[in-house]
Amino acid sequence: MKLKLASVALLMISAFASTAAFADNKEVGSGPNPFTDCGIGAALFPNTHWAAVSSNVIWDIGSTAVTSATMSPQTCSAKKVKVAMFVRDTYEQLAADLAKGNGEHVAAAMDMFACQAAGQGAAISRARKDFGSLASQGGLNAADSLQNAGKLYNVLENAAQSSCTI
Amino acid sequence: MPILFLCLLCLIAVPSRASDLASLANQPYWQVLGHYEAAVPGARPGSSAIHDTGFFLAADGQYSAEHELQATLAAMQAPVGDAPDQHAKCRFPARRQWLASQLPALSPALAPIACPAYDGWRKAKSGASLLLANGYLSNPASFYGHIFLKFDDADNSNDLLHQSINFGAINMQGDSPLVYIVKGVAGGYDAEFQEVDFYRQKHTYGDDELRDLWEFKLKLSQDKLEQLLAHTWEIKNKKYTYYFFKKNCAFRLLELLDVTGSHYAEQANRPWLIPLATPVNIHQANPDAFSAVLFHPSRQTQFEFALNQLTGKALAAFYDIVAAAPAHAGWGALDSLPLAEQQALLDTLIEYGQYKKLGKTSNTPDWQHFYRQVLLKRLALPASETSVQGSIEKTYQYPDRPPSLIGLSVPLKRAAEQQITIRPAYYDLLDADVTHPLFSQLKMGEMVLQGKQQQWQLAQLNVIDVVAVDNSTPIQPHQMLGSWQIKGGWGKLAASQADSDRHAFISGGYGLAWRQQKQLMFRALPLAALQTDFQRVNPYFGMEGQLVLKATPRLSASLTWQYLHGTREQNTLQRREIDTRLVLSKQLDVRISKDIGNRTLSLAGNYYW
Repeated sequence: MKLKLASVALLMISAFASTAAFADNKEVGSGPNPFTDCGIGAALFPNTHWAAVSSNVIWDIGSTAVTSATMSPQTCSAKKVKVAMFVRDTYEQLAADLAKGNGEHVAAAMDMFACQAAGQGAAISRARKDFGSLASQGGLNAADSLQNAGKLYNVLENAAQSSCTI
Repeated sequence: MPILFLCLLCLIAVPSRASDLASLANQPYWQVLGHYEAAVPGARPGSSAIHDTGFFLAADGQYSAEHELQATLAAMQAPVGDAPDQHAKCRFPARRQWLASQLPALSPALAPIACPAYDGWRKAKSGASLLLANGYLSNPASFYGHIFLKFDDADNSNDLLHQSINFGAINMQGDSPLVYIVKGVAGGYDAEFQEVDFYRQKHTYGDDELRDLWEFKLKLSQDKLEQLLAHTWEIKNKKYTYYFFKKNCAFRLLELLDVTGSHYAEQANRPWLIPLATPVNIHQANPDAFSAVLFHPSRQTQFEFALNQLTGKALAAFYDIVAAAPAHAGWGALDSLPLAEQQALLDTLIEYGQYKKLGKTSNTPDWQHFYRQVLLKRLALPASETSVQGSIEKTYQYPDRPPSLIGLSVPLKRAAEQQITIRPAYYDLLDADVTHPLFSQLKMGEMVLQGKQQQWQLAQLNVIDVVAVDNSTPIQPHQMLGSWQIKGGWGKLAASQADSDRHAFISGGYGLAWRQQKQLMFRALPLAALQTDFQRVNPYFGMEGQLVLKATPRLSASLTWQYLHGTREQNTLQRREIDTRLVLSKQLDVRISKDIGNRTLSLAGNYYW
């Protein structure tokens, strides 16, 4: 009996360990996110028109429709979609903040991932490291800003989950 | 049962006398809540500025404040049903609050109910600010800046995640600039208040258009904040008519604030309202209106600040790297610098990349690659301890100068004439401040009256007088920038013309400028002008050169030389002037002007209002 219990415990420990190992080994920036699973479009700021969006004119910045929620409500919750849109819309600023190691955009992203202030320093450090790996290994596609935003979303989410008290 | 029914009827009551209702409907606060205006072009007196059926409960509510009040009272006392958010109490919380305060007998019937949508929207909103975007001369709609409202969020210390409320014209896609100007002035657009995430506003103004933002934190009690929130809920996404000069973002925001008991809109009795001047106007009406003024620098301001922190080898290395870019053969002297200087240099390169939008897919692959190398290099070093933005915010102060000017100029030689200048808007090369584009001028409707021996006459009317210099940050030591100007009105092209040569005119040109930081600017451009008495048109061609020095925040000077040759009249007009300005206070300055050609020297005192 004791041997059976020990075997089961060993199996369970192995299962968790291998899952963790799998998680650590998964490609940086990969994983389900609202971009791939909730149909968020590549809506950008409409700065191509001469009048732009700022000058006493309100534009339909549109394209924020989530066309389909193919995955679980967890992936496509209103909160996650909001975070995803923030990452999409401020990708350049987030990348710059991560490179420098500080900035209001990366702090806001961490707030949105419910990372408490005390843990944000560690989370940003983790995100810097992962983003750096992604960028240096050619993991960012120069032409596909939406895909890049999806990868950055995962980097930030993983960093928040691993470093913060959520 | 009939007795119970009768008792229930007693509970559903309205003020029994029609005169009471009429009196209530005429109360200023009800008029403010309904946005009823005394006279609106194209509308009957007393009609509402809002022309959206979703805002009114009475069929003729837009035109009758009394009928709207009656309908509101009835709707407030109707059964709630299964959709509380559709009930009048939830659609119009500000009306409910006010009516309950005015009709104590109906307080139970007007008691609040649970409103899931409003309560959810209102939750955590803990304060309000006015946000002001600097003027922008690349777009006529933005000459005078833009102003919007932001609500603080107690659940988010980071204001990027706060909500802003923006008033602007809608449905103008496809319209050309000329059509926009005509329709915007004439009321050809609808407008509304819309919610926009603040980070989007900051991106648009600060990153895309490189305009600084000033935040004026409103000092509001909890009651007044509740009034503001409740009424914002009532009017958002409701249609107004947009008028560029008066019923614009500035006016509608003042109207919205008036629900807190101020009278800003009522006191805004000019035929035009300048968004940039709105905080000044509010402060003049209520010196206690703001608890703080914060500065949100644009990307360009952040880049210039970071650049100004670099010195010596780090600064030289920055220029070398940028001069070679986008080609990137190496980091040059960067690797030999101490760590802190390497971090500062790379942070400055990142700010440069953000300012020039190098990483955007709209940029060339070479520039995108260069910027990525900068990011990678920076990622390999430890994080910075401080941020540029955090350091810069304390170094800017809101200038607080009113937008209009009236001045008296007296000659220091008896033979010359006195002058009175009236300038409704807005700034010239010597009095432009940090809220205006650098080394620029925007004057509209400026009138000059000349007087001699107690006889006064209109000498000059400058309908528009704009000077713009490309505000890009020079990276190379002698980098030239673009400059343009346009001027139109009635009067002389140059002081040397005879009084009989006062005619309608238009002039303009495009050329080059050079500037040294924010202190010194020189520009030169070819000019073309037309002057006409509507029987003959006289064309002129020539040149203008100008030097502007901002020696200190209080002392500035300009030297202008202009040469025009009339191809039809075969005459030559020259203008050579030196102007100096000394600031005495935020509303007073003195200027000494010397017209070298006419050998006149004058002293002017100007008052800003």
